[in-house]
Amino acid sequence: MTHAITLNSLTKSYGKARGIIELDLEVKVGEVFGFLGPNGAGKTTTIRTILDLIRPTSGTVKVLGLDAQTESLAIRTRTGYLPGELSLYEDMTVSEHLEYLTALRSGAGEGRIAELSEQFELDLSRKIKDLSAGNKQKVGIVQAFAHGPELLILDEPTGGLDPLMQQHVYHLIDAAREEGRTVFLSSHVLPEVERIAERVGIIRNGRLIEVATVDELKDRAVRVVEVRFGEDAPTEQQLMAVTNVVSVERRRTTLQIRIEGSMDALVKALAGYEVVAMRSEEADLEEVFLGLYREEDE
Amino acid sequence: MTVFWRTLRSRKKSLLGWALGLIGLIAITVAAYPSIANQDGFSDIIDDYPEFVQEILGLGSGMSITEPAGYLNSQFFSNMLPLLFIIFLVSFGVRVTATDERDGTLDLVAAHPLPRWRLAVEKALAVLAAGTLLAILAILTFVVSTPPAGMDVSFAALFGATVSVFLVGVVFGGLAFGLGAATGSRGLALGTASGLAVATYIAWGLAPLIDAISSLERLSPFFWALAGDPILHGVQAGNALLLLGFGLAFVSLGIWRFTRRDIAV
Repeated sequence: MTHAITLNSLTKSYGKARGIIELDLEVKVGEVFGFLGPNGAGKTTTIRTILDLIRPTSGTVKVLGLDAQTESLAIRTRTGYLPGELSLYEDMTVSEHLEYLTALRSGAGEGRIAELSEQFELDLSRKIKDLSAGNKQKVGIVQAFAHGPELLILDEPTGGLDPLMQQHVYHLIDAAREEGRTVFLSSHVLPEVERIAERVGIIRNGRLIEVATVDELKDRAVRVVEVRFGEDAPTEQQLMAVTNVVSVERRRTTLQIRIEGSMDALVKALAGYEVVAMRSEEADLEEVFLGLYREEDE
Repeated sequence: MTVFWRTLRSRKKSLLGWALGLIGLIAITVAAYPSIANQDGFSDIIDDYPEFVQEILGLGSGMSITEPAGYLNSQFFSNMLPLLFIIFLVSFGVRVTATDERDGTLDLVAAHPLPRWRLAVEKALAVLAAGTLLAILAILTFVVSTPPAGMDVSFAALFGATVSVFLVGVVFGGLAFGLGAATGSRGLALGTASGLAVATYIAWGLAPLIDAISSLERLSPFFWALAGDPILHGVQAGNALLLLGFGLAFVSLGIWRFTRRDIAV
């Protein structure tokens, strides 16, 4: 078994509006995969199909080598799930709720509840209805991780959490990866995915428009290179002719060069002139992300 | 049976309230019997009512309100008790299905390793168990409270009458549960079950008045619950099984559909 999740031409139609269209995706065992897209793009629909909460209109889903519909029970035993819109039983205390969910897993994970709750500063004795949104989210995270599942499916895991608690979640995900677990997480926040995922899939309007590693995306990003020249400087036209250069702007002796992808040709072209100073800005994944969205719009 | 116990426990307070209310209502009404017993004047007034009115009051088959069987039938079994069982079972049946789904709380539980049919069956059993508990308490209260009030009614009669009207609750509660499980729509489940309960109650009362539709009363669960006068002759097995069968069929169909459909967020 090489893949944790395999989506094959997965389609889910809801009348006209929402849904997902012919998704093909493979998530490898042991990787952290970020599923990225704006709200309403189809992230939650995809996730709920994987867990057999909803059934595909067409196409197939395999999880841990098992069929998502006929073998869902085995899949759910080996999977931890954090819903995107988490709803808990308001009348229960945190510990009652976690015990209930643990009991549905025949007690798996019971031993880790105390430890995880302490890590997230979660008061086990409080009623769910008295918790803030962030604290409810912590309950969701604890129940997803407690039984140490092979596959973690996290729909917007850090929603409602303060930055410190977000870091705790990132550490949990990092630890899960180190233990060889697979993490499939959705997010609409780019820096989050950039921080924890190795590969990303970008979904928009129900279609998967890109699957790439974070590094690949960064390589494709537009960088801004500022070069200050001495006596011997190239003209704008000369630089525009260099491979990958998108635009050039002159500010007295400084040229601001926007470049997409590899900088190799540019560096070699600059070598022929007197370069006094040079500064390159880190590629911003946000730009790539927005770029992909713009392309789709056109 | 994790879901079964959790479902019961979630209604612990409500169940306690219902139990106390039911016991109190029965005990007080039964205790009022001596003030009406053998008041022939009262009985004569009702004897002058048209037959269908007597029937609706639970005083058919020559029963008199001034005698124990007639008194209990007119105060409980032809109106109050089936109504209470219907309200309890319908609202509980909708709560554990459609409300659980609408609140979004079903989502996380359904993603846990428990077959969907099992999840639904345990909930249905919990609702049935809670209703049965109330029915048992009602029977016990009748058994304990009737002798001091000077009523001589056999256990078989009290048991039979209570079980029969409890099964009317099972029919409508089963319908509410089934629709809630099948559609996830709270309004549809609640509206259909309570609407049909009212409609069939009216049909049972009024249909016999109009020759052309008099056989319509046979479509009413109330007819089958009271036919054969369980308060006089004990449980009518065939009628009881018919009602139970309908209740179980509604639940089963609902669960069948529930296992095959999408769960709403």
